Amino acid sequence: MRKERFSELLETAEFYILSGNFRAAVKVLKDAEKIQRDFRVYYNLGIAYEGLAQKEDAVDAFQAALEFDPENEKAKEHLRRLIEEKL
Amino acid sequence: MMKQFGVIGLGRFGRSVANALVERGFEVLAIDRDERCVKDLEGKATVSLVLNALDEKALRDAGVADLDCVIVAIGDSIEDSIMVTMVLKSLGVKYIVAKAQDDLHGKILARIGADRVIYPERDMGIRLAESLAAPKIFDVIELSTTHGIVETPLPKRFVGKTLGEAKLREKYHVSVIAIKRKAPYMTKEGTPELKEEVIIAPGADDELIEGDVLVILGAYTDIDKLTGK
Repeated sequence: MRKERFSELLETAEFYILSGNFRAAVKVLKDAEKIQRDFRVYYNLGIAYEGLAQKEDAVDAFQAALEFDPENEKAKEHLRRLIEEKL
Repeated sequence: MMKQFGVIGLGRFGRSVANALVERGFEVLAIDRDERCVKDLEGKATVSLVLNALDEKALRDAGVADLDCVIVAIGDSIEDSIMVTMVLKSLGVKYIVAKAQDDLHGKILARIGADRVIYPERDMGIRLAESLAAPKIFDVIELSTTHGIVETPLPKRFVGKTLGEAKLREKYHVSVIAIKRKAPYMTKEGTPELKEEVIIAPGADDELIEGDVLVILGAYTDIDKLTGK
């Protein structure tokens, strides 16, 4: 049941991201985080925060994502670019 | 015709200027009296020469007088940088850019005829301090001590308004020259991704969206009022 709810939340969040409603995506992903913490939650959170130009929150989220999948190239690329932009 | 540049003094600064000009497709004559510095640029610069830039005849023979612009990037000796600038001036170089170490050095360079005086260390330091002190400002291009082009996240109170409704020009006397935003799309793997869109010279009907970054031209005091600093 919880697993289903989790997948539902992630899909909703991705829908919000793709429709450009990053604020709503963050809210849904925060709910998903309470059920389960994994790469997809934090990666999408990073994308949503980046879309909102909240760079520091985006950096934190991509760093959290990399804890679950340290070799993920896309997350590493986002992190590298965000840190470069912040300097 | 392609512009031709000269760079005198091939320390770290001079080398990076010379390299950047070569990369942009310009002809560069690179000069230093230290053979090792010149060797580093061999094969990159159009011509690299070991010679003493205080020697007016040697500079003339090297064709320095015909260059469009000469950059004096001498870093270790203020005296040499001043003397070389004077020599270039007497050779009739069209445009001289000289690197200054401090205000007094800069004033002297301007007085003896440098067309442009630059302070790379000081400017870099100010820029770094600005970006650290004002996290709301992402990037600054300084046009003068009072005006600049600044990148800043869209303040919340303007979200959902059009640029015309926000009345930034009337109320804050600033111009929005571009809007940067991250547009979402779906990758082949089915995951969300972002790509940067830049709306250059946005019109009054363009809507402002949460997450937008405004590129604004104006006085720093007005920009501060706008960003709520």
